Formats: sequence, C-alpha cells, structure tokens
Amino acid sequence: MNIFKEIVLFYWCLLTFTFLNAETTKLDLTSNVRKKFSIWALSKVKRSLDNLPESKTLGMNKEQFIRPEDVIDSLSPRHRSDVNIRVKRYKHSLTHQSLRVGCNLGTCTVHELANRLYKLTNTEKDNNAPIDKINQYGKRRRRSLPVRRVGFYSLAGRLQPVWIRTSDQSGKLRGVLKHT
Amino acid sequence: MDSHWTLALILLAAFFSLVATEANDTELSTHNVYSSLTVTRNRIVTAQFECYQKIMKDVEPMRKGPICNRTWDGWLCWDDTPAGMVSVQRCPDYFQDFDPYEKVTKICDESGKWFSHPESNRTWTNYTRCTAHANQKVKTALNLYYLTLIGHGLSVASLLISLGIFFHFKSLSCQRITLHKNLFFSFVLNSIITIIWLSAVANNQHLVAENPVSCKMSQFIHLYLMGCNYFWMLCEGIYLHTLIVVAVFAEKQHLMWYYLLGWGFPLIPASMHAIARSLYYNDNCWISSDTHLLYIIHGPICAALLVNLFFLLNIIRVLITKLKVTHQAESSLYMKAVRATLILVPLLGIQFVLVPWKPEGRLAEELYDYIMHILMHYQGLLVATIFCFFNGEVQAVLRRHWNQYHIQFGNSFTQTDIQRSTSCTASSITEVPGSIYNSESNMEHLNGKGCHDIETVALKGDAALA
Repeated sequence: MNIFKEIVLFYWCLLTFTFLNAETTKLDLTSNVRKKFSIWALSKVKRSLDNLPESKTLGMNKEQFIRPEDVIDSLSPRHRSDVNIRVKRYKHSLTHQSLRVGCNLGTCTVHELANRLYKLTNTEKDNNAPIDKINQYGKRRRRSLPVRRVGFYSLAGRLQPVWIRTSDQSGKLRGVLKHT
Repeated sequence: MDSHWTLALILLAAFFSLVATEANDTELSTHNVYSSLTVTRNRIVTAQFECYQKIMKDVEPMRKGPICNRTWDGWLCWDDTPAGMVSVQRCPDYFQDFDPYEKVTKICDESGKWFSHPESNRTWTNYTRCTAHANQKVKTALNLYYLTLIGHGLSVASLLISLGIFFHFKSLSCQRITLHKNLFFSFVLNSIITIIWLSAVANNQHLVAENPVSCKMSQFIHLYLMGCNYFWMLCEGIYLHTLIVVAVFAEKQHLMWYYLLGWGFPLIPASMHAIARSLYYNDNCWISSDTHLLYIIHGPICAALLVNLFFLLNIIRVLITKLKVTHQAESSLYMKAVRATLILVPLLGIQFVLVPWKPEGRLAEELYDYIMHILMHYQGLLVATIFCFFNGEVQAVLRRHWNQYHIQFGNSFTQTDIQRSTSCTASSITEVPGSIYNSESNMEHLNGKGCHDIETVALKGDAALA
C-alpha cells in the first residue's frame, strides 16, 4: 500500500500548510510579501475611504504600525454575551482587514448558514432599530441609558429588587465619564 | 475612585437582576422586572455593564499624542483610539434589522475628539450600514435554507433508491459498487444530520440558549459525518487512480484500508475540534462559525479534495494518452475526456477546489453563497443520478428484471438462478484491471458502462443455455 503512504505524507504537508495559512495574521510575513501586501491594502483602503463622506475631512496618519493588541485573538475564550461587545480596531491608514473571522473555505458555507440563521431569525429581538438613534442626532451617551434601572435593597435579610431612576445617578455617571 | 465603586455596584446589581434565575419566590414587583425587559434591552444592558467594567479595569495606555478616550456610545463599547484613526467593529445583533456581518465605524479626529456630526454637532457613530441591506440578507439566508432543505431531501430520496438497487441486485456487486455504497451511505447520513442541524438546532433559539450537551454532540456528529463524506470521495479517487494509473496488473485491492480512511480517519479531526472548541471557544451549541478552529475540520477536507484534483488530472492524462495510442479521431477523443471529467467532478468533489476562497463584496458574496450551496447540497442527487440511474450496468439489470417480471406473469417459468449466476461471473470480468485497457471500454469503465458490453455477452450465453 505504497500509495497510502504517499497520500498520508502529502496530506500532512497540506495540513500544515493550511494551518500556517490560517495563522498568517499572527506570523511575520517575509518583508517582500509584507511590502506588496501593504501597498495593496493601502490602495484598497483609499478606495474604501472615498466612500465614507466623513473621512474626507480627516488627514490619515500613515506612519502608524499595527500594535500587537490590534490583532484579533479569535482563539481567546469568550462567553456568550461577549460576542456583541468585542472591540476590534483597525488602522485604516495601514491595513484594511475585513472583519470576517473564521473559516472562509467553500466547504464551510454550511456552518456559516447555520450561524447566520441563528443570528438573523431571532424573533424575540426588537423588530426595528430606532432610526432617530442612527441618524445624525442619535447615539448620545445620556439618552441611551434607560430611564429606570433595577437595584436592590435589603428587607428583613432578603434582597428586594426596586426600580431606581437613572437620573439620580447621572451626576455620578458624568463624573466617571469625565475620568475615562 | 469612590464614584467608580458606586457605579460598579449599581451596575452589578442590575446585571445580577437580569441573570438571576431564582424567580421562584415571585412577588408582583419581581415579576414586572423580568417581563418588562426585552431580549434587546437585556443585551444592551449586559453590553453596557461589561463595557463599563472594561473601561474601569483597563490600564491607562502609555502613548504619545492625543487619543480619543474609551467610551460607551449607547450600543457599543469603544477603546482608546489614536487621533486620526477610524475604529471599526461589527454591528451588534440587538435588533432584527441589524446585520451582524456589517461594520460600524467611529472616527477619531486629529485633535483627539470623537467625530461630531456637522448637522447636529453631536458625537456620532456611523451605524447606517447595519440596516442598509439587513432585510435582504435575511431573505437570502432563508432562501439558502430552503434550497438546502430541498436539496438534501431530494438527495436522500435518490440515494436511498440507489442504495436499494445496489443492495437488491446482487449481480451488481463488485469492489467499485461497494465503494459507491459506502459513499452513498455517507451522503445519506450527512444529509440527514445537516437537515436536523439546520432545522432543529440553528432555527431553534430556545435550544441554543439552553445549550444542552446533546446539541454539542449533534454538532460533533455533524462534523464527523461531513468529514466521512469528503473522505469517501477521496477513497473513490484513490480507488480509481490505483485501478487506472498505478496497478495495471494488480490483484484485488484491500478494501480494509478504504474503510479505515473513510469511516475511521474523520474521527480524528472531529474529536480534535471538539476538544479544542471546549477549551478555547466554548460557545452555545458550538454554532458559531466565527472561529479559526473550524479549519481543524476543513483543512483535512480541503487537503483531501486537492489530492482528488491531482488524481482527476492524472486519470485524464492517462486516458488521453491511452486513447491516442489507439489512433482514434481527435474530436471523439476529447469528447470522451470531457465526458469522463464531467462524470468524475461531482464524484470526487472537485467543484469545491475550483473556487476555494470566498470573494469580498456584497454581490459577489451572495452569488458565491448561492453557487456553493447548490453545488454542495445537490451533490448527492447528482452523484446518485450519474452513478446509479445513468449507469449502463444498472440500467441493463433493471431492464432485464423488468422483462423477466413480464415473462414471469406470461408463463410462470423462469430461469432466475441460472441467469443471475451467469451475469455475476460475467460482470466480475470487468474487475480484471487488464480489461480496462481495451480501447473501447476503458472510458466507459469510469461509469460502469464497461460492464454493459459484457452484460450482452452474458445475455447471449444465457440464450445459449436456454
């Protein structure tokens, strides 16, 4: 069964190659490849920035490099709710990585479909995002806080939930936000 | 510092009131608390809590130059960003019309202030792309879902009929058909588990939220059977390659190795994935596709498909050289080569290697999705059609049995046993690899047509016996 040995060998070579490929974001590329890539990325960014009307007013700092904390570590353990607030930052001036993480092979489309179905077909979520929060007047910090929130007070050795008006805390909040 | 702690305590209290499950001692007030919080509100509040926790926990960065301060904008959490940079993250999934695959951008201007919208003069994050194409994305996802279900349904039906034919007519059994049976069986199992996974798990929010062990188990089985399917395609490739290119005068091949590769080997990546997933990315039901850990499954699959591509090219090369030796007309030669390729592509799964990477851009992505889903989920149907229903050998057997059935009702006398034994020895002749190189039948052998000629011989012999 010589053919089997050959196949196994070839297969492992390919396997290591695939793994290396998947990890290239974390590995150092050779300088040549890196130079070519950054040129390509830069041209791509320029194109995509032209589509953003706001960005025209800004001069982009082209001297910055990617810091290690900018690289997405998709392998780090996360819990369910963490998915929503994962912060990934990209320097548009040097790299324009797509936010797509995970498997991009043709055979992975099944998992992607399952994931997309799960994310898109949740009928328990609110139907529409409030438009006034998306347009130019939206997304102020104080507005987004709910009017009331839940707090606890202790009654006869037991915790009782109560509604607390957020406005009571807004002074403290402002203080915190000034610090941050 | 004092205010930090107060805020943390308040938020902590709010958070625990959301996640607490001890609602047994219900009072009216508690009941109101839980019912008035929608899923959306719940998620936003949770995200807000975690954001403030992160804002307070993270250390001040030592960096020169102005930066925009970390902030919570009401929906998303933003880290410190150097001046003149654009911060990007994925859209949150709070609302049904938000597309979680789109991007949100927040611009930090040169002076270290977050971008304010010129019209309202308020700090503004660009969420407009989240809702731009979201409804269309949902429609596409549902279309793909129904396409997938129909495809797998049709595949299962046709494959089961094919398996029935292969098992019922013993005269068909030879090594090639045994491999086909296994491949078809892996197709059937894969289709069934995919239907279950998509319709019962991915479409069921409650189940995923509960996150039972059975649902992770089904994901494990799904990935294992998927691997089996592709590795049986590899087995078909190895068998054909060995038969046509390597072992011209070889004896019968040992099928044990094929069983080991087809059913045994995929267990390794599947269990590796399960272990890695439970250690590093243990999300609910392992349903998320946003992890590189999926390459543990799909790396080997891709490698198998690449090996198959190499086999296909080699087989075509050998066939063309052999046909050239027999001085056939050029046109018929290429027609035969093209035909063989078209027959073998779905069997060996080559279609996935041709467009291996997902393209960028909305339209290209959508087109790619449709093409890939059609190719993937209708492959079983295509393979069953080509290798069973259009197979000359199978057609001949079916025709013979149909005629026999008629005769049986015409004059209750048959020679079933004689007929069967004769045809069995006859079709086993095709297993002698030397006969592949008969210039006439080598091309047809790929599709079992080689048996067809011998089938007629068998029928003649039959007539002689009668």
